[in-house]
Amino acid sequence: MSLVIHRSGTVDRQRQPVARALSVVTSRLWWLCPAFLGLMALWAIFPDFFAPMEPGAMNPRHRLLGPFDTSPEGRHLAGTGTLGADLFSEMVAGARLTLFIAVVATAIGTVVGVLIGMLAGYFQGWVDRFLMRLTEAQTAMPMFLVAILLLSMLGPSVTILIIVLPALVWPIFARVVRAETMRVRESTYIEAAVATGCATPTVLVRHVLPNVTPRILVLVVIEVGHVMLAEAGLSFLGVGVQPPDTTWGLLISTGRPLLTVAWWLTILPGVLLGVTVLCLNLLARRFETRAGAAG
Amino acid sequence: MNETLLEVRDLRVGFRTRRGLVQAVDGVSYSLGRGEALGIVGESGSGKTVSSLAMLRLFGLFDHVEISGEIIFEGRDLLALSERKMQSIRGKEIGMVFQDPLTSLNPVMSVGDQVAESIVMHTGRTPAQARERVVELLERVGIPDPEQRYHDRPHSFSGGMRQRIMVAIAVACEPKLLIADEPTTALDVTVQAQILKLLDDLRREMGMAMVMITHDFGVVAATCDKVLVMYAAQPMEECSVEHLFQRANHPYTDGLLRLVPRFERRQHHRLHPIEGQPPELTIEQPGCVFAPRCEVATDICHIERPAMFRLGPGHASACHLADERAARVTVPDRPWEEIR
Repeated sequence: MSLVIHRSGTVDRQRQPVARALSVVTSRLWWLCPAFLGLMALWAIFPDFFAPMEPGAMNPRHRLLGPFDTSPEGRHLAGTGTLGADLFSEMVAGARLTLFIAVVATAIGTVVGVLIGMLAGYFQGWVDRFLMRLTEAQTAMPMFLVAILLLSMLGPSVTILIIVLPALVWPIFARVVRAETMRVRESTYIEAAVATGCATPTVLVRHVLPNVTPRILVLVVIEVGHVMLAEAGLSFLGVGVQPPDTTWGLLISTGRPLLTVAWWLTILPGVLLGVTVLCLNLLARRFETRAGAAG
Repeated sequence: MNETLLEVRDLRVGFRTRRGLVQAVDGVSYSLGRGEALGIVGESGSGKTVSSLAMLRLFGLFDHVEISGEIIFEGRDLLALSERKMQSIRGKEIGMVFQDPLTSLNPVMSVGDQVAESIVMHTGRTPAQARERVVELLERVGIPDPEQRYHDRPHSFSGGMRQRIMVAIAVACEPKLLIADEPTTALDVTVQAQILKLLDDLRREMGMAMVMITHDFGVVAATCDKVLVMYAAQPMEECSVEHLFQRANHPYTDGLLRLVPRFERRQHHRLHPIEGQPPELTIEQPGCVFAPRCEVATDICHIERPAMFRLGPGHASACHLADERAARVTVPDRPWEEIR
């Protein structure tokens, strides 16, 4: 892959396959991302409709069938697992908890981070110093290890996951929102709002927050993917979601010992997770460039 | 008219910075009657904006500000009020129009909602009830089709239109005092005249007093009853508008007036800029702040800071030459024509 620099000094993207593919996806095929994510959301909401077979139904006579193999029950699009359960149905069923944990944990992280970031950026002074040190302390703490510790001590549970995972994302929100708030608060319209008699909470909610929101939205989309990967990691390590509940991370984990025998058990849920996170990132990127062009 | 609405006594505003205390306003005093219009004139950094921000206490919680003096508005000292009381004065009793209309409206909120905000906050009306009044106000300040444009965002309005909306916000609750901080500086000349006319008309209609901050004597002449000239954070001269153009006393005022281009002058008549630069506000110098640039400065000007000498009703000047003990100089009728 070589860069061709034109006389104008611009890098010729046509010669870079990755960059080219990305730019095609972000410019012309971007709608594939929301379409795919929408499909995943539908999986999560109506799993029964999309799952061809009963998820988790054991059928030892059809163990470890490869993708597209058929059994008397029908065609197994993604093969079957050690106990003969249809992997495609399991992936559909796993969408619900995977997305639920990612969305709820990100939502909590967003609320906490935005609140802290706005207060720090608006008030500055010691409030800022205190809240930012807090944020740095949180960032410095290896949350992944803390999560493993907590989950192994208290026993794995979805509730604890939802409490622990936001800690991974709120410092990011706090920092970005603080920077944006500092920019916005210098605007004359904030001064004008104060001059018309707005109390500080009104200024923050009605004037600062709406002007910070575009950046928050972009970040939310990225961070949902981030949280999804973290949950998959924890589930993979065995301290996350436990059977009979299932998530994509857990599917990857259960397939791992059989990687040499039945590659699809690990690879296919992995690809599904990867594509979902990629779609989230591409969508965020599009939002960002669009917002940049409009602003 | 002669009942006092606002009285500022010895206002001092300083900002603590790493390089020391910057005295942005240093001993300003004036009073303003109901319905009266005062122009505060001075060059950039002379403290005219800061003195008006002090009136509404528009400094951040953690800005390092030192304020002293008194701002008596209807018998209450604004500098001593609680923040909550202050909020009920901002926008309701004192309205403010800012310099740059392009940045002083919230870009993500409809203009109607922004005008309504102040009415809802201060009169307890519901947004639906306020709507009628908002449309009326938008119409009054000259927005065409106010009904249709209620939900438009600021970006779809021109600079002049946005300034009209700012004016609508400032006068929405019929305040007793309107502070206009260089309201026409960012606008082009034809629009400037319209905005000034609008402010002047509204002031008369609503019986508002006005503090007009500007560096343009034309604006002062068009809209104000009296003038306060400021230089380097200090008041230089206070007088009525008629006196300003005929009997300006202070050498600084005089220097500024000589910079106003005049059509009736001889051709090739050059403008005479005031030599030098305004002083740094961190360094406290003895004597008159203007002395280093003053053409008629005497020894005492570098030693002692002049008081405000009364020259007549409503006319005072901070210049040693205005002291009645000073050697009489016949004040020419048109100083800018003859001093050179």
